[in-house]
Amino acid sequence: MRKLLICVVLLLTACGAGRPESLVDKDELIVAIRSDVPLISFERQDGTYDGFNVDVAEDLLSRLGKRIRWLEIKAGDQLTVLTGGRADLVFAHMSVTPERKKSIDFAGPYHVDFQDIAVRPADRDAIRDVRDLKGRRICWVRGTNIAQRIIDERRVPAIAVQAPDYDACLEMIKDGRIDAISTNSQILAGLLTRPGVDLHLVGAPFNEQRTAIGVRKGDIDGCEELNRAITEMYQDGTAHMLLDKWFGRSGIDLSVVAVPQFEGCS
Amino acid sequence: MAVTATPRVRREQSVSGRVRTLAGLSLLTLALLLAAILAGAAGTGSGLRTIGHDAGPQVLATTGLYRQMSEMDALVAEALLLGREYGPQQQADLTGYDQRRLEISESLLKAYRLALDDPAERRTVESLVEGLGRYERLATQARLLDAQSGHTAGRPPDHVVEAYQKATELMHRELLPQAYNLTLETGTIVRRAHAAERSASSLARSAVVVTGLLALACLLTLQVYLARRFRRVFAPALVVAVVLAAAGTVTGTALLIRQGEALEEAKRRGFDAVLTLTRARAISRSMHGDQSRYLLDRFRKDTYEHTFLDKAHTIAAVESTSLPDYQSRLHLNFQGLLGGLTGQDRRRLFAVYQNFQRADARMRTMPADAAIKFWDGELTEAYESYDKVLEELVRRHESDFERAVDRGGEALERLWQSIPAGLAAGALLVLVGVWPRLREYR
Repeated sequence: MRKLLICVVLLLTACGAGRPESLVDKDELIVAIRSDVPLISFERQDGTYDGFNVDVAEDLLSRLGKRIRWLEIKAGDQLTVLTGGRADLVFAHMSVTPERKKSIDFAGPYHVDFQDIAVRPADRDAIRDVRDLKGRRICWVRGTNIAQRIIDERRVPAIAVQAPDYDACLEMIKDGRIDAISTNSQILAGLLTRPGVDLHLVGAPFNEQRTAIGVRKGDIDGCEELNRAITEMYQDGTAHMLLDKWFGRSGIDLSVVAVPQFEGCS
Repeated sequence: MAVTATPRVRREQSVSGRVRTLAGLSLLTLALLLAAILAGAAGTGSGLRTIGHDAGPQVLATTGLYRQMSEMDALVAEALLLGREYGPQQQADLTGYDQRRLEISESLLKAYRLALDDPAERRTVESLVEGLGRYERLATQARLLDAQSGHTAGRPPDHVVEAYQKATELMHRELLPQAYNLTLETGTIVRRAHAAERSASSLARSAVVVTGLLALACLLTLQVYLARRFRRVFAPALVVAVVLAAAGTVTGTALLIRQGEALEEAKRRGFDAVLTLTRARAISRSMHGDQSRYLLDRFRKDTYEHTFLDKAHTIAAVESTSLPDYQSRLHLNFQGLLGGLTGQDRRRLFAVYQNFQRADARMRTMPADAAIKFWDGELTEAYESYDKVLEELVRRHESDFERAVDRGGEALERLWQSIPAGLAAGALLVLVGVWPRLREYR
């Protein structure tokens, strides 16, 4: 009789463990961020982090009732920290691409941004939109797909010049090695706040950039929970408040703040 | 002698006690077996109800929302492109527009009903109702300006395009994303209900096997005990009870498995497939709208070409860097939303989709006026034949879905008809089998 009871218990417990590992099962999540992007995610002097992405991550994860442990990453590590299991989530201003979707899943996007261009004030009349980048040298930060989107997707014959990060781009545009920096308008707005930077924002937004949260492939439950939290963040006005807090004075058009179309979790 | 007399009485008492205990245990385990089978049937039954009759059909209704709304916006763009000499066709577009508006109201009501206990989803529906009102106002303004300008077929004057830009921007940046998310969210509700019910019913299946074996073990022990104690080869009533219990366990498990399979098939091959195909159809409608907008709006041509490519990647992804590159590299082994199709369906759909993309590539190389003529004729035909194949596939999976739900219902009905009666008869036979033996001790 006792043996039978043990059998029953074993059978019952065996059936309960069918679900794959998910971020919803953890109390503390490792969130990967960059620490070198002004306005978006940067390290303060006291060693803590601040910025739009940091605020969004804190708001969303508090809605899920989770604690956060930050993990600083470089551009180009966005995918490997997830596939290697070193982080649970990536808030690195990553846009959704079919290529990236092969190795990770995306919750959100939590914001839809556009690509814009920054040039030296002297070039403001020569470069008015993306087509004027023809034959010009543009900055290509390793790990990003921005230059490819101009040259291949838009078929604008610009010349991509490699750089390790955006600080290097700022140096290069200052001494004339490149003519333009193009990236998400939010990132550009941040770069323009750097001391000593004198650049002109062209203000001709093109290519939608769907900024999303990277999650591990197959974590459908976690992805769905994050989407619910993003919906709430937009519905209760938090998203509007955060965009206004960080980009209200940047010249980015914030007249329409609406919940983005989600990528879907599967 | 008195010393041996006492244990004899005790032995008689303990024999009748054991027979009683064993018979009682047999009855108890038979009752447990019945309870496990009924619990399992109720579990999968409620799963079938959720997917087949409640949430499932409502989710499918909300998927229509995205397509109806994209179509509404595309019809406005078309009417603006057609100009005054296409009066009757403009009128047809207007009728189509009104029809879509009616369908949208119905879908929204269904979505609202489904969202009753989900405040976030309810707010989404409310915000859609509000936003559609604003959209109507902007679209009417654009149409009025268009009628006043009295232009011929082709691109309308800039101030008309600017008025339309406001409407289509509202549709694409605020309303369509919410409609799309609504479908994703209702899909989540169904997926979670299904996962919970599936693990509950697999639990019930194991419980049926375990209680069935327990019942058989008790009945056999009772049988063996009676045979040894009373020197009978077997009690016929108990033999029949064993057979009934075995049959109950086997058919109960089989019917539960069958019902589970029906539920699984309704979910995978029916519900999921319909959901994916309807989403693909909705996005395709919006792609066709992007073609009209590309022709209509010279300021945002690039943007509409880009959104067309983005959507093409969502539907049938192949590695490529730009739209012409995508169109030339398109091959049968595409991924994306339609990547799950196999065999004949895949080939058939690929042929019409490729045709649609080829027509699109031709349209983009033509000068404006010729492109508008081509769009009104061949391109729209190519889109329509592609859409028709998609619609047929949706229909077929819908009937697969309904058939699977019916099959699950039938299994449930058979289970109700046979198993409770069989197990009750088994219990009765246990009593019949032990009753004469117990009487010997009276």
